[in-house]
Amino acid sequence: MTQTVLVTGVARDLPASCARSLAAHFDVVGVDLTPPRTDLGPVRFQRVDPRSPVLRGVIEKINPDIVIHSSRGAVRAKEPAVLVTMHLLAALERAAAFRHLVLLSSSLAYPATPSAPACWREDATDNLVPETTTQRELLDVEKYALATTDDVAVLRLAPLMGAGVRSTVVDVLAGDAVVTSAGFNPRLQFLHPADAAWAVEAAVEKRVRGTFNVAADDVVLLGQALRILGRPGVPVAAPFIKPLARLMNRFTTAHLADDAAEIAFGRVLDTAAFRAATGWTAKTSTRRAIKELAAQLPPGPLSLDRWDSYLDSVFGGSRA
Amino acid sequence: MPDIITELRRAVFLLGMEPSRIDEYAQAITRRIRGDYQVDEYGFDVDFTRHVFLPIIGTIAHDWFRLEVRGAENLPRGGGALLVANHSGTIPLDSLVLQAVVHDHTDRFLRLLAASFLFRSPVLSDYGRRIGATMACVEDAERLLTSGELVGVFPEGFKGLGKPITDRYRLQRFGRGGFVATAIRTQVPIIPVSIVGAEEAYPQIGNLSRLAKALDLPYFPVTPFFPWLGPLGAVPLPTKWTIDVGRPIPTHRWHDHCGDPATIFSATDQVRQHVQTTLHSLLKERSTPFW
Repeated sequence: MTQTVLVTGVARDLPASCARSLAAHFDVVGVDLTPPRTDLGPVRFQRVDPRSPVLRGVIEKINPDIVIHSSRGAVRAKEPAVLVTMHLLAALERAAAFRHLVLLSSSLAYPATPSAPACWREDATDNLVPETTTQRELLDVEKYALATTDDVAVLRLAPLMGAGVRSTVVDVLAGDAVVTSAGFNPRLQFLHPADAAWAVEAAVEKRVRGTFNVAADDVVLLGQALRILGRPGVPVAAPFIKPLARLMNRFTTAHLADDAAEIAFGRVLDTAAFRAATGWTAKTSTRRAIKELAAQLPPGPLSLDRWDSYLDSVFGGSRA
Repeated sequence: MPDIITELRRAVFLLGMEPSRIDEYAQAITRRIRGDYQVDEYGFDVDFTRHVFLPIIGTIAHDWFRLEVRGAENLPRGGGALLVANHSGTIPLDSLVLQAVVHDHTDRFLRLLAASFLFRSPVLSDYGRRIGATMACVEDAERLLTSGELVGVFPEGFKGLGKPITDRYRLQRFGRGGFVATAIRTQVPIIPVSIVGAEEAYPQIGNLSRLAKALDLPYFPVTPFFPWLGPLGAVPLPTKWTIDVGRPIPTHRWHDHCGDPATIFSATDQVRQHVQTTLHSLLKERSTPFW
């Protein structure tokens, strides 16, 4: 008998692509408050409000073996993510077949600070006091899930990057110019959506338990990323970043990152534990993923092609 | 545009460089402009370190400080090791020079452990990571040592760096011995390094602690030339430097006691004693700080 997989938050791209790729081996049901933006293929979609008592009945009827829950989907529903997760887990108590939960968390569970270790390991959050609301919410959801069920895999995913990705990070990097924190050049580490979907598959297949970082292996500096994207960086002194971003985001169509710490100090994840547990490795590097985005965007003011013609005019044919 | 190429070749020739290497330079510049170079997960930029940073610091070390290196044969050619050195001289030039010494003799890169102050500071944080430094914390030290890197640590930290000239070559507290515990856990040898000459390069005669507090600095140094002469006062005095690399101290004999604070303290003290004794004997040999 094929097992049933329940995927929450399928209106968003990542859960949707997870649902699609899992549909090859499982009977997949996707739920969300709003219908998905993309075609889910063989995935059955069921509209459900995670806050309503209907949820319990729906889940009892689906009776999933495996649940893929993304803790960040709930944030958009203007409902504390931890409450949505509590509702879901309570409903799952009634689902007889339920045996494995994969919780999609985020690298935002780690703080962006200058005194952070270069690579975050999963156990680093054990003794950490959350500094931002997002971080606290993510850690709350993780802790609740880990405390409620035994068989849970928490995947802390690096920000998604690649063609077709819609996210704040992409919006910021796609601007004509990118505000940077003057004098800081954070390390960026991304995850390609295909690798993310594959990681979820691997977690389901190996039925892993515990918390795991999931990210591409390599790191690219913001300065390098801007060169690849052909976007000029506009260095702004840290204290002025927030007011400037607020002004620009309010009165123009620009997307500026408003968190000074976020754009000054990156987060890099140590993915050794997940690789050891599942054999998963990222197929697309951070650099490749950024290049994919660059190919999709209109060329930036400092795009490589322009550099090429400029360099050709300076160095002639001497370049290889 | 062949004219520009001719001019460039002429400029390269006048600068005393090999004209045939123009392609190499052009490619290097293009690589940098394209962002087409690798950094590791710590932000270490080998391309920059090897081709820009180390040549500059090497020139300063050899021509300005007339650096003499002893015991270079003690630097391991492979495998992880923890280099523990004394820290002095107001600004951490000694760590950069040690990095050049290690690269000169082994062709390996010394990965420095730095205070969080470095990573909080604009520009410095960027270049600190580029030359391979990372945060002085157990996680990073352990990760680097386990992957077989040479790691450099200055356990005196700002206490050593910012001490007045009257305390020169008097080792400060060696932290809480965290570095020793890490070396024992990762089973790598500790290599004690003694650096003479850095103390007098910036003789600190005062510390404007209130100004330092206002500027969020660990200290604000006053030397005979700084801040009076402005940027000129930041030129280090041409002292003569000697770096002594000691014999590796194996750590496996402590391995069974690595949770025991007394063992850690005595091991820390052994390393500290070694550096202090070597400093004294090196000092006895020299007549003045300058030659």
